Amino acid sequence: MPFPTLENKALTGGYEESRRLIRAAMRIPISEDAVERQFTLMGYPAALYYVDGLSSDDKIQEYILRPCMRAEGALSQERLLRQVLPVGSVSPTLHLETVISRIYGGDAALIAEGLEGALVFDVKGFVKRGVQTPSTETVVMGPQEAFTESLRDNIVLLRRIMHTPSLVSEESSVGTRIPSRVCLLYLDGVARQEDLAELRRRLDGCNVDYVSSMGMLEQLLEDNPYSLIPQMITTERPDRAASFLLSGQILIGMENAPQLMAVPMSLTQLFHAPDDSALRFQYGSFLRLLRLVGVIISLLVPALFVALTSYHMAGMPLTLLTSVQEAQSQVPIAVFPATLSMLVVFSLINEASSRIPSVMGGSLGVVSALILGQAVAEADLVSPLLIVLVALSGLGSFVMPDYAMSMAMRIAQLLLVVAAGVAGYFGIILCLFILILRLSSETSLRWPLSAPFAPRRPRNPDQLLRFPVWRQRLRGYTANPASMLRARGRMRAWDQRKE
Amino acid sequence: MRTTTAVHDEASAAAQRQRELRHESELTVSMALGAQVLAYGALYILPAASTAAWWAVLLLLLPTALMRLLAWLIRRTAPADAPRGWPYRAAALGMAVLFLSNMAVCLLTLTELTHVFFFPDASRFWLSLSAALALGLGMPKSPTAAPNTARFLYWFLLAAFAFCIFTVVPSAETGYLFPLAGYGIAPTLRCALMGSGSVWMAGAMAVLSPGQKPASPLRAALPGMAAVSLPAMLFFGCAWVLPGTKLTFEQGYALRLQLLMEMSPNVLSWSLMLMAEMLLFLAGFTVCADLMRKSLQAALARPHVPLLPFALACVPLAVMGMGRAEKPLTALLPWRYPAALALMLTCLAGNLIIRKKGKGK
Repeated sequence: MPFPTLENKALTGGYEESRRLIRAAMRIPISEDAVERQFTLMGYPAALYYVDGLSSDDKIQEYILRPCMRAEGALSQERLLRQVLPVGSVSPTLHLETVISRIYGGDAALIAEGLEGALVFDVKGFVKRGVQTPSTETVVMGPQEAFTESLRDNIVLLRRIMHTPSLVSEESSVGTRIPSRVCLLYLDGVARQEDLAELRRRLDGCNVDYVSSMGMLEQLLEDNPYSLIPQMITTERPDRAASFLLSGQILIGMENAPQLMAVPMSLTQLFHAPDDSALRFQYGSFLRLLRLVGVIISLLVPALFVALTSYHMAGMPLTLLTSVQEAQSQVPIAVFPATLSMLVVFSLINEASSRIPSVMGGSLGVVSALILGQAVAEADLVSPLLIVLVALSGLGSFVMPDYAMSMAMRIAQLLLVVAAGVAGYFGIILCLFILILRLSSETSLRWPLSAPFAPRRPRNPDQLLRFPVWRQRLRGYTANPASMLRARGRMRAWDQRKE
Repeated sequence: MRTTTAVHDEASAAAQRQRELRHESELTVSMALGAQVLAYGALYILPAASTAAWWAVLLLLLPTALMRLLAWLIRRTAPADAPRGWPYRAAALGMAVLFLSNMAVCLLTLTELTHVFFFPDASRFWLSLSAALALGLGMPKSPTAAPNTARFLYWFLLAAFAFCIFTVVPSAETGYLFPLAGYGIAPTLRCALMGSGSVWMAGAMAVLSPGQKPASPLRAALPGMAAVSLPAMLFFGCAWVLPGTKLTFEQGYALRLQLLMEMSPNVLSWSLMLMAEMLLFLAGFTVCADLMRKSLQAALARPHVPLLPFALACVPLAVMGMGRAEKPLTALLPWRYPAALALMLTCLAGNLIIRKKGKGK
């Protein structure tokens, strides 16, 4: 129901009536980019409608107007489609709502006296960004292409990787007043039908006038929008999207969104970077362990420091305690507020660096390094040890490949610091436990997020560690059980040694 | 050609999921049991352990085996068409009370530990209230939250305790392992009797999930094994590191808890051990709360039972502190085994009556 005023209106009342309806819907002549081109088609009055800039002028002139104006003989839809119009994609329709929706998607609609309904031609010609390198999922090894804002191009990028008719793209739309094109992509037979049905049900149940971004769509579709942890994983890389498809997940694409979203997801996938699978398994496993260490450092180091220095000094080795106390005696601010404010400042710098124009990036570096780092330490506002710890925890949060998870970690880090400041170890344990408890109950498209570990599920050994590729015989635990096996027999069939 | 996988079609995937679910339930009970054994250990096992032989705990095998046998019989005799009949509902209600007592002991231990080692000046009321509120308000409604959390923490806790023990034992004082057996049969039996107070949980899942088929022997034995092996390990640790003197009640609950966990002179192990203990008691509190909620849901046939009132109901015992609560608890808690035994026998009898009536028709 994209345009409520057009609901159930059909182009069956003759040429003039159809013209009146389309003109009214396109706000002609008020709307200056809405074009109505009238001409004579085989002796009958006809009109072509399109939006200037969205459709290609060259295609309209070459493949619609010129053949129509030169055509002779009796007018019929059959003859127009078979003999006159050399356009690849044409679809006749009677519904005004569909016609208007297609016109504003870049197509052109033709009506004529004696023709029932309208013929809609695919003559899109709007400007769009070309395929570029990924900006948030950069890799050392592996492909360097990223999705764009054009949904069609994104599907093409995927099809270029996966040459199979099993890759199905189901088109749909969300938004009741201004519809946005949405596409479900999955490998037929590999994705579960019940997951697909659930996703279709949720898409149909999105009752909002307009969905502007993938993030908005995510909030409309996810199981628990109040959760701190993301329940859908986004990627801007076609190769990663292909790996999600192979593990039985379903991708959601959207017009004007340069990412694809995969559901259902597992928590461990948030630790995976795209080039893990492009590297040998030893290196991939090493990098994942590094990320895990980074997460632990990022979450716990500031909180433990606050708890140890504020409440449990006996828990520190004597040498460390002495140096901490010496450093702390020079500064006027207590450890808890100092840590909290330094973490907030770190987040400020991080946010500023994402928003600042690239030409001013150097200035930001100077401000953060010299003024906020060196000068603050020299002015004895915070101890140098604290700056080191905050920087360390910041580094830890940067190693998370997923941006949404990195944000969640920064919030959890602040919560833990506050808990440590209020109740030391007791606060940390209480806060950590509640976080784990909440995490353990989260689901992604009704699948437990903490699986395959808690609860245990049959799994591909590509989780926190990356096992050799020939050991990865199973797809993800969410895949269709009938096609759970990725290969029958030995993967290294030429090798006589025992796998 | 080799095709190695356990999962290749819907039927085997469903069967495997069923097995995993059962395994998770058993694992959850094991974690609750671990927290309980540690807490009870400080309550009354340690003084007994230091006077009796550590191997006395092996006598617990008998009551544990009895519980598991009853659980097996209940599952075998459960009528397929009426798995939630009155015997189960009555037993589940009784189990809910027993699980509530577990919650109270876990909260008491957590509060005592925090009070003694971290915040001696803080009020027990605020400490226990904050933990109770955190659980009551933070616990999700999802029935899988507590089992998943238990599974998440299981290996972490095992690793943390193993790390602590391995760093501590080599530097600890060696006690007297076998001479303590010379105290005679009476202290040994007393020790075993007190230890059986927490063994009742080994059979609890049979009442809570009567429709499930018996798990494979090894996995089904997990809670039972945990019930015996955990006290055995604790006793062994006590006998190893503590000098063979009798520890009195006056030595303090939290201190005895630390002795039970082999107090470490190493600051890193010390911090890790204390935090791991707190996490274990918090997990025990949560898991028992979850089991209590499931018992109540089964008993009352209601889809949802709020946890907050029950969590808050545990606060008064924690506020009392161990000084006042220890003696009544040591007197009351061992009676839970016979109570659980009676509940399970009722359940079994109910099953048999229903089966007999079914055959009569």
